[in-house]
Amino acid sequence: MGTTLTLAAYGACVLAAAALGLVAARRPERLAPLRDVLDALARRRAARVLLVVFWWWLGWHFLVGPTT
Amino acid sequence: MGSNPTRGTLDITAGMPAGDGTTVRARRRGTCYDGLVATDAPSRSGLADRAVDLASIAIASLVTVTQALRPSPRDAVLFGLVALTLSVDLARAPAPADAAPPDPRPRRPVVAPRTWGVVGVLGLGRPLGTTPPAVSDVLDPWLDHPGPRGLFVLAWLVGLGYLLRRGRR
Repeated sequence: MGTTLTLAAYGACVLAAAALGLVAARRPERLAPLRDVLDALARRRAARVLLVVFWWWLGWHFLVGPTT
Repeated sequence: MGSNPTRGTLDITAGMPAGDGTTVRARRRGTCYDGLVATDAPSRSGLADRAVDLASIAIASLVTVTQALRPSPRDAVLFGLVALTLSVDLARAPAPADAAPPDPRPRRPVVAPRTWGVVGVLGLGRPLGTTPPAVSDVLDPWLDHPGPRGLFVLAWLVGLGYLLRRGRR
């Protein structure tokens, strides 16, 4: 039951992200697209470093590091 | 332009006209030329911003190293919190002085990063309870096979290239 609920929540997150992307693409005057958000974030050096560090961690976590 | 450099320091903002009517361009502090004065002494706000930047990088690096040495389900939530922190930083950050003129279309960028951040945190962390599976538990069986693993590596590299190109415009 808990597993099913969690998987449903993950699926809802994926759908929510897709919906956000669709709304931002069709009405950018209402919601900034992810590209614009990342551009604004990456203007600051600290944020740029943190983004790259986070992306590195994502690859390490799923490809290298133990996850069990 | 000035031809007889003299030593000395004048704190005059770059861009002001020099004595001969020409406009000054910023040069290193401590240099003064005939009719040309310049200084690029960093302002107090600039130094504070740089200190915050370096502190943020140091903290993020420390968190990354410690979590890499001790992987746990909480590390995903921690990095999700980093994403949320970045969104707050974005909301407070002023636009760069040399930024392009604002887009005439009305935007609400403050809403977007928090929204994406919330979705990102929920998507990465364990949203409910302690026994349900983490994202790793869902993806690991799929990533054990070379084909999907290669696809993941390719997607990760493409994403890295995309991230590195952000903010460069």
